Amino acid sequence: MKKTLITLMALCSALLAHDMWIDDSALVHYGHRNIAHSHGDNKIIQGGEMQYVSCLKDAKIISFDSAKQQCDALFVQLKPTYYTKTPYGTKKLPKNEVKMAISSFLSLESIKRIYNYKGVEPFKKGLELTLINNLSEIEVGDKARLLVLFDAKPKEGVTVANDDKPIGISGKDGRVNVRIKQKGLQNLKASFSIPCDSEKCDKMIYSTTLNIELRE
Amino acid sequence: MRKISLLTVALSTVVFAHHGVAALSIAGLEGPGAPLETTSTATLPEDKMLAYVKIEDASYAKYTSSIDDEVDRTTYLMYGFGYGITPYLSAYTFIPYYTKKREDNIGSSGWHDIKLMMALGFTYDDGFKLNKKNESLDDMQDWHFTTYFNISLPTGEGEVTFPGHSVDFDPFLQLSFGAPSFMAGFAATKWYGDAVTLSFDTSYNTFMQYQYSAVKVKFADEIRAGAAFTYKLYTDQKSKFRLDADIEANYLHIGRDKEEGLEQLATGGEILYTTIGMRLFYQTVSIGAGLKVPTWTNLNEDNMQQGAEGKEKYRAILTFSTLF
Repeated sequence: MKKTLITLMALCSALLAHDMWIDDSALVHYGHRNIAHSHGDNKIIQGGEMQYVSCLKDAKIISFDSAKQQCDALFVQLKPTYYTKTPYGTKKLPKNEVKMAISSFLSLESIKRIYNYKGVEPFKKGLELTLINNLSEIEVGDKARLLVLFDAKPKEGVTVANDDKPIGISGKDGRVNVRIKQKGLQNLKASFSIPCDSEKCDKMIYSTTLNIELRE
Repeated sequence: MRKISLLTVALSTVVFAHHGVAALSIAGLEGPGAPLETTSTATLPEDKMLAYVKIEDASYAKYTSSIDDEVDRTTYLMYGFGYGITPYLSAYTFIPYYTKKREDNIGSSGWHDIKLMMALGFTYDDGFKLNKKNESLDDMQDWHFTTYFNISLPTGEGEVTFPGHSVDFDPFLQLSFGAPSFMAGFAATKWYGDAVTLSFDTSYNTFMQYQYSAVKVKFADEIRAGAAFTYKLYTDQKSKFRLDADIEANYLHIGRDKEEGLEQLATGGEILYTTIGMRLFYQTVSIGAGLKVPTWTNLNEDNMQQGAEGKEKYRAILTFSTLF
């Protein structure tokens, strides 16, 4: 069991090397929120890179048109992407389409921003974090009580991190508590992997980010 | 004079709960530290077994230069086994093996009374809650508490005699209390999320009266209170190694023993020990080593209590524990 945890941690560290976040204009950013850690690779995720975008409004999941909709929560799922490591660099291709593949994984990534206490209903799309306690009552020093879901069901064994620091692993009930340490936009992340179901990769890595904001 | 020394075998019952295993947390070697003597609040992970060995070697100051009946040395070896019934309830069995030696080379050695213990762990997180299975590192920073209950059973030899020697029967050299003893304790721990862990404990231990062949004895009740400061000195995640430093204050109050219903002279008092030690964690193994010395005493008849608690030159402590 411990070996599994350590493996998950290592996996998590590798996977959480970058940030994703949704700003107030509903733009999805990819890169490093702390500009000092940026390698100049910060970018905004374009529509063509997204597989699924939905808005939660008054407990109903509706299509997302613009930031003016004032969603209670916004959920974005990126298109699945293969990454294969080779002696001549990492390629965005399946393992069976490159020469001299060393290792390969399929990245299945998503991000959600909860804007208010009504935005806690799950989107039921793959790996997802949601909040159990009331966002409006969370203050610095309090815990964000998270629920890890996979297709709307509690998911066990998922590593959860606050920014890049692993904090806990979900139990059978999918619950993990994370303490909020400062105001502003919080980047809470979750990740797990399973063996690949085809010859295209070695493993499939699911990861998701939850943004909540404690206003200044 | 040395009847109080017999009570030292009971003291180790208090420290059973500080199994001091590395927290099986997400980061393996993160989490609160574990003191050597003060009881830790850590309960065992569900369905996990603990194996534990503790060696405590004490040497006593002598009052006379002649070879007489003064207590020279005690070595207490404790084997322990634990099981995590639930994340909040752990059960332990401890099997002591004690060696006691007087200056005149009369001594005893053998298995002492078996101890059975249960520990209930809970935490304060927006109210008191029982320990849960998957605590995050942030959950571990909440105040944690444990209440524990212990009973010793008279499985050891309570009639150790020395025919042909200067003494036929010495309570100090017995390997059993002769009757059950009971202990209740409470511990609290606060981990500050980085290197510092504070631990506190208190306990009450009481003994039933027993009719040894030579005398009817009721050992005195004991009250203990401890405070420990544990500091994480070094961690290497790659090799799963962690080293902690530990300093503790351990207070002990002992009442007067009774023989045939009468309170005895040269028994009881108060002692404040200072314990300084180190603990290393490697994978799921923990090894602790320390020195415990009496730094303040208020014994009832100080000049008559050679061999009693508070009259040690030192207590050297070595512990080993592992989870599987």
